[in-house]
Amino acid sequence: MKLGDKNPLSFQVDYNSNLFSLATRNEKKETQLTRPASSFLRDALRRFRRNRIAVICSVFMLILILAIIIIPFVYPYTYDQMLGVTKYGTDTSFENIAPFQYGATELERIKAGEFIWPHIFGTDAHGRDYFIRVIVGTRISLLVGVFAALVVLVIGTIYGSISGLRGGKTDLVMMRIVDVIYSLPDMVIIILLSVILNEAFSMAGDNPIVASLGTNVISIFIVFALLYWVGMARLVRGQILSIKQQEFILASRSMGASNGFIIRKHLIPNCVSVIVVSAALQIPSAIFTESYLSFLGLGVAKPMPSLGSLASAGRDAISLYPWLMLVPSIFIFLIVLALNLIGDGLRDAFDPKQK
Amino acid sequence: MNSKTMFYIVKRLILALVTVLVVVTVTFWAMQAIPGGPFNQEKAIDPSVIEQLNKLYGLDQPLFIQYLRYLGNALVWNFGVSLKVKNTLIMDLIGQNLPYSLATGLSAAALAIIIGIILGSTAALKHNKAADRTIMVLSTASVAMPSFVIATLFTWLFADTLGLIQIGGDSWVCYILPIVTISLSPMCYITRLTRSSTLDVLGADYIRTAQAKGVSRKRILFKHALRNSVTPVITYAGPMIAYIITGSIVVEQIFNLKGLGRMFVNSISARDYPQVMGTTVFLTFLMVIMVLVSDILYKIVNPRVDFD
Repeated sequence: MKLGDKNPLSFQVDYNSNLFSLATRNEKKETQLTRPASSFLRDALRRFRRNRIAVICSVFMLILILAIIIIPFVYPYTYDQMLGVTKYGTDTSFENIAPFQYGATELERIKAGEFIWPHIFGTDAHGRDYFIRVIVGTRISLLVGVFAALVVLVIGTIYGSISGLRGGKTDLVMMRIVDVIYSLPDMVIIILLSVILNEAFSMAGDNPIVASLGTNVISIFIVFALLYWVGMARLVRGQILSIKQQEFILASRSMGASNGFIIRKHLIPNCVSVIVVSAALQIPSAIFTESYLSFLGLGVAKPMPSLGSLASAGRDAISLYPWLMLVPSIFIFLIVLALNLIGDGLRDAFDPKQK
Repeated sequence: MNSKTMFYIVKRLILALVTVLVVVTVTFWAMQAIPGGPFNQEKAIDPSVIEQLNKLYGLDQPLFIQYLRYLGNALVWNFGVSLKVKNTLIMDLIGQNLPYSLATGLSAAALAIIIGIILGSTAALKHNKAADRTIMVLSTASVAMPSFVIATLFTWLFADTLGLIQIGGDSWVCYILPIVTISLSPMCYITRLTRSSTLDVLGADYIRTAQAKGVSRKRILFKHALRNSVTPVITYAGPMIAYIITGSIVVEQIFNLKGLGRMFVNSISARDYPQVMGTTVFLTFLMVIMVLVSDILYKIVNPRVDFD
């Protein structure tokens, strides 16, 4: 039976080539998807960008990071330069200068027509320019925060993923160790370890790395490496355990995927968001810990400033020179607030349930 | 209480014991890592005297024997004598300072819980309105300040500038600022916790049923919602105690109050190591017990929760 030969009583539509025409290019275009397939990361970024507060905080942090990298190179004063000290003795007029004021010799030079770079935040009790000290202090505080977060990230992720992947007895033993560390009073242990490591390092002699960083900063890193990774380890393990049992892993396995492939293609991408958010929130916590230890005299080595040590040094003279305490405190406040809000924004952006 | 809950409690008890054991062990070996013996002084002492002293305190024994002895002593709350405060047992020092810290800490905890729950449920009831926004902004902002900064600003404002309060006295007025300072951060956390759990509960079916029955707003809040939304606060009790202990270290120092925190800081700066170790072990014990109690309480209050 040929096409077209049909029962005359039939209602069947007669499909022949006359009914069809070639699609134009425009018509072809219309059938294509208007929205390109978007990856998980791009989706998260889009959600993050819609969070106005988090974006403002990110811009603030970017500007701050650029500032602390560039300013120490171009600024006319250095953080440990005591402006009042000359070879003829110490000029006390340089000590505790109020913001935008000048020391005695500087005033004379200004009268002579010279341009003197203003002390934007004044100077401290040793006649050091406070602006550059705060900038360098921010740099050190952020570095301490980032490195501590990295330490936590590496140890916690490795430990947690081994525990989660192996499961069984290994997991049981590893998690009991985590439980014990988790229930220690962290601050008390940090103080204890800082004191002891200080003593131990000071006996170890002149190690160049120890000398440049100061024993306390190394103590902080060691303490973070010993104590703070447990939260991250728990998180990663939980995530891996829950992903491991899902159907798409079984499907992948039944198609013959190797363990390495599953880890690389399924487990890691699904854990990254949790790890990133937790690491981001670790930075402000480390900055806090450092400032707290500085208050107890266990912070970075002098004359190196950190925001915490500047603020706690400024406490003594708060009624006379309040800016010495207020300026670094405001910096701590803004940085910790911004990082916390960015961390919250990341968490919301990475949470697929929000979609 | 079923056998599963019992099993859970026994498991937690063992874990708590192991934690305390770990801390005692770490503190003992840490003390060994510190160079110099306890009787080293600027002035040279006759070696035979040191030998006698070592014998008296059992320091001539092998380290392992010393460790076992330290462990046994810790079991009966004996952390030895202080190096700096003459003729005083460390346990007596802790006993003298504990009541002050306990009074401050418990008041701070009570303040944080009461105000936190009030603020949190208010924010949830006024969800997305001005009151909610204000409470959330304030609670986000005030956790971004280290407690020593807040404490210093308080003393500057209320004592130095306004002259309202004296620092470092014994009357109850002197305890207001420290208590407020310590309670601030846990208060903010409890506020957020209560807000989110109240929002969850308010969306639940049984609340809608109550509304449909015509139950008054007040009754719904107190009779139906709060009872369920407050339970998560119990789990925070452990971490809160930990926070209050560390917070008190700073705050007691700044407000010049007696207490365990200041004793701890002073023993660090005086390098009185047995005292540092004793206080550490004691604080750990305190915290482990509090966390244990709060976890078990939560399990009993809310049997649906499965911890593993």
